[in-house]
Amino acid sequence: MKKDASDERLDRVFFALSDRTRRQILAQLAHGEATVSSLAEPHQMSLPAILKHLGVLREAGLIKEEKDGRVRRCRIDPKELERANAWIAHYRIFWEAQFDRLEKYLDKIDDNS
Amino acid sequence: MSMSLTIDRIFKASPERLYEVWTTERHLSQWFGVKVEADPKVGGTIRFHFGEEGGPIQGKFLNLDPYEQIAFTWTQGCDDLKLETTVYVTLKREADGTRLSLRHEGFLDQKSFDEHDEGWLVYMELWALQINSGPSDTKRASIAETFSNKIEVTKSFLN
Repeated sequence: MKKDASDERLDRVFFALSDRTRRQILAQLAHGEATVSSLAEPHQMSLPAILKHLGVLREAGLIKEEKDGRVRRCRIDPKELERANAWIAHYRIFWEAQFDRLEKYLDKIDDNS
Repeated sequence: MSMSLTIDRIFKASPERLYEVWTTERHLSQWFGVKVEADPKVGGTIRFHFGEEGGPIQGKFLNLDPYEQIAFTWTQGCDDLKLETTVYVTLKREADGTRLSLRHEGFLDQKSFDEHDEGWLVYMELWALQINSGPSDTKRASIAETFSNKIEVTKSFLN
């Protein structure tokens, strides 16, 4: 099925939310803006690994990054998350997959009858 | 704020055949890929045994209109974390088969939000656990933690 731009955006949001570390970063940011190093702290990960996670969240429009001198700060972008509603996107993916299964199943029972 | 999704596809099968595979336990279990219990009469139960965590998804048939429409509620979660949505499956004969429109509605109903501040992120997680069958220790260990995080996140998002 052809994907439109909003589907692609939802895919990005859903992908971003599918990872536990990224969800924890969002949870941390929900308390207020934070520097990249303070976001990295609880995760025992290298800075590049955390930056990669932040990149995914930024691509999905879930967070925003600002440079403040030499310090990089992140904050949440709640509007986008609410609008994107990854939960419904998840259901859409689920039903599309079920339709694929149903298609295959119908072929199979037709062959057997 | 109620939200819904609709998916449309043409299947190379008759409406009679599609109605049959949507209303019989044996067929449903086969193509859903999980055990499905179904008592196809209005008010009868339909139960999808997805993963162990979060329990099954269950509902009741609201409408059974042979070869045209099947409607059932879809309740996920348990106890105080329950959310009921509704699935409508509509069949329409076409030249090359049957158009199946699936409408899943009732997401983010005001009612469910008044009752449960936790919101859709929690439901999403529950759903992910239900759908990914097979229990996983890591998942189980992290669920309580992620849930409490998500409640915080969601509250701030919805404000």
